[in-house]
Amino acid sequence: MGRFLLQRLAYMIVALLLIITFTFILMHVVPGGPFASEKQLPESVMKNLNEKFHLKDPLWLQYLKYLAQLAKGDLGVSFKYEGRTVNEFIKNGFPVSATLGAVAVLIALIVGISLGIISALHQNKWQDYLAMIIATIGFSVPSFIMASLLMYFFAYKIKLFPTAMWGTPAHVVLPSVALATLPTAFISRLVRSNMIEVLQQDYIKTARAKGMSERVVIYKHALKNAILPVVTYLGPLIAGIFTGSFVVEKIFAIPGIGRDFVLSIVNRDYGLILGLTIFYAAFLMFMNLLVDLSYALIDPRIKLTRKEG
Amino acid sequence: MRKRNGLLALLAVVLSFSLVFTGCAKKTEENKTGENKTPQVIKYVLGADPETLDPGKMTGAPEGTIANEVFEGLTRYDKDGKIAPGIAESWEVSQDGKTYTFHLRDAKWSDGTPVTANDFKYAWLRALSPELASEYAYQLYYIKGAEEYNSGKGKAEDVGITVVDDKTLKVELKEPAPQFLGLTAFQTLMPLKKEAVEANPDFKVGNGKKIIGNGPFVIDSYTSKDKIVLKKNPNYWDASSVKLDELDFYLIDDAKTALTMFENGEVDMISDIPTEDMPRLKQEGKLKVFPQLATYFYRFNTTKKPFNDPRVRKAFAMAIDRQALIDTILQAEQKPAYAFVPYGILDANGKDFRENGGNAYFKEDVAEAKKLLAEAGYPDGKGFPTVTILFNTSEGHKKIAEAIQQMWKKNLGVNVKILNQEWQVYLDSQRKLKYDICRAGWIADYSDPMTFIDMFVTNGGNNETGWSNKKYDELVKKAKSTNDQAVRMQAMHDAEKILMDEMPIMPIYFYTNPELISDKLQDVIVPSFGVEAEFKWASVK
Repeated sequence: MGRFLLQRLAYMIVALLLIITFTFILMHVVPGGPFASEKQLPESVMKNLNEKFHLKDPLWLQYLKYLAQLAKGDLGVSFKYEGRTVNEFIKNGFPVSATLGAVAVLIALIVGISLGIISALHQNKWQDYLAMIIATIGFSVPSFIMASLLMYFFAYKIKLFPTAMWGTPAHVVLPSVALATLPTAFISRLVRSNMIEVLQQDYIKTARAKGMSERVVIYKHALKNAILPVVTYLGPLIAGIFTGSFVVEKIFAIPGIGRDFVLSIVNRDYGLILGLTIFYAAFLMFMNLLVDLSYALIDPRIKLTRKEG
Repeated sequence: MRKRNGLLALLAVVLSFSLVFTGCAKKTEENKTGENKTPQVIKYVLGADPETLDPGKMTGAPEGTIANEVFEGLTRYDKDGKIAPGIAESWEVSQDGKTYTFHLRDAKWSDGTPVTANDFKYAWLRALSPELASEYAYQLYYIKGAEEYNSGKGKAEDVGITVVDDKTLKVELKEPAPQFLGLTAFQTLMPLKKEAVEANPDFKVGNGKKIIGNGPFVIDSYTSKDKIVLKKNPNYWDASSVKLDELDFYLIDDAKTALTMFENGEVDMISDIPTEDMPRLKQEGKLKVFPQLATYFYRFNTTKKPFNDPRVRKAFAMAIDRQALIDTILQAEQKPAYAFVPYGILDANGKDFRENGGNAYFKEDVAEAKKLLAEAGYPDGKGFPTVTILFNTSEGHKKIAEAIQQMWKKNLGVNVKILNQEWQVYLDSQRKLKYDICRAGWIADYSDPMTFIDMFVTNGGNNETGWSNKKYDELVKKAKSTNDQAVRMQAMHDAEKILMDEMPIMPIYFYTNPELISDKLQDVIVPSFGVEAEFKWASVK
């Protein structure tokens, strides 16, 4: 177990270094820069800016300097929002995106798993078709349309929730539902197909033959195995959803970090691009590691040690 | 039975969730109505997060709008958009137009200490210091020695700013610049209190940090990407004119969302209105349209075929129907542009510069355009290469480009392609002349034709067409070297005529500024350039 962890951590560091390098190269290759605007700046002003942000240094030196700074836990500064650090952006934005994401994941899990179980137990009956229709809608309606529709009906028409912004629990509802739509559909389909498969396995037949109650068979034996793929999906899902959605955050004017990430690229905010990319990548890898560890807890057949040859 | 229970339990969970949330929503609403005794509060949607709250560094109009309420320069624009005394009570300008002497009134900072001439000198030298690397340092380049100091070639002591005494500031310009007075109302030239800046160099708000200003309002709180709350500043010298208790700047960058909030009564004013809602809002009579000192135009790349020939450029400019673009696409009472300088700038005789110069330097005339194109060697568009209109990605620019593409095809028989690029890539292509025709817009920095005219001098940073004309350069130089308004204005009229004869750019329309303002707001000023809105005199019915 310890060895497995060490190995994984080493891989993660290598992967992160590669990501930093590629991002660094790419962002300097695309045209434009953090100080380009419609009105051309005089040369002396550009010179001052470039000196202040060390953009005059050769790229390799900038790269090494950045790595050195990163080693100290400093993700850098924003070029566009002067005086604000990337760490500050994460500190302010991530908890918001993560809260929203957590509620969305919860909704997706509760509704998705319930729908999946219901349709598996009622295979090819109306309950199944209904769940399938809901899932299809969830798959096919993009989140920006879902967000706009929710806002139109629940905020504008019946005025049940505030239109946008952040602050009270009421502000969480519409955006989290909009965010949860796709994963809900996905989870319900995943659970349904696995549940159907698991229910036909020998050990379920055995359990039933032993006279166990249907409730115990389904919730204790079948469900545990049926949701294993959901756990796999949960890693990237949480990583993706916790780090914020540009569309949903923009539409609902939520001060999350998803918007910062996309806008940093549009603005060529070199500091913010690098810092947030590293944060995203590290978070995604960490979530995947958690998923792998949780396998061991759920499924005893999986062992995390490598066989010695 | 069992399964149904499961479903019911799920329903119960969902229901109880929604009850909790709706309960909260109701409660906040009740709170609101409880204290509803026409509070003097205005909620204005400012757009995205301000890049900085430091007046010395800010560049954008949203940031300027904040600075204008929190700080006050030597002058301030009044209700009619005229330059009026601000912190300076009066001023004298020397005969040659190069020396300005400002006399300050008894004004206080929001912490109660007096505003002195030193605060201006400090702020201006700070903005010019190479270490601060302010993008707008060049707004101060009119001052003698300023550019030298900013570019590291001169010293701070040699900049022409002199504190005569606490209440008198003398400024020496390197050449006469009548626009300098208006500039003293601008954010870069606002005063700063040295101790406050040194204690809070990044201009943060919250965690015990605050910004000491000298304007009608003070920043009470700032929540990133949420809102900035401003409260009336009791120490402001003209506090009796300020009726608002609170001014909230909402930081919402989605225009559609802001519109829904406006229609829901959650905010009182928005200025970024989605194009697709324009016709409906206009029909409902909600849209208020204000003038704006800005021109929408296309640049031609004059360094290569076919647009190195002025006849071709003129033919293209004459072969579109501007009014049709306004009526079918833009729909916010824009004016078709047959010249470059927009309406609303005063000429030497106190009349409108545009009206004086004639409203049009050319007219739309398809027959004449075809003739010009034939003279240039492309009769009926034959042999004309396929050229491309470049624009930055936006639904509005795309619709206009498509319409113009059709008009040129129909009227001139030429094939034109359209191409959109992401903002930064577009800026890069434009700058490096990697285009045939390129969409552009220009908003006045100050209320003088010079803000438009000096763009197109040879190798000017904002020329970006490759065009060069000696006579034009001379006229601009002449206008810049004199303080005689009549001579200046005439030189700029002459320069504009050359620009329109040679047509390195094709004017399309003069922008307007459509706004949604709640009927209960009074005396909100929407200026034609500079800040987005001025709330100093505003109140709520």
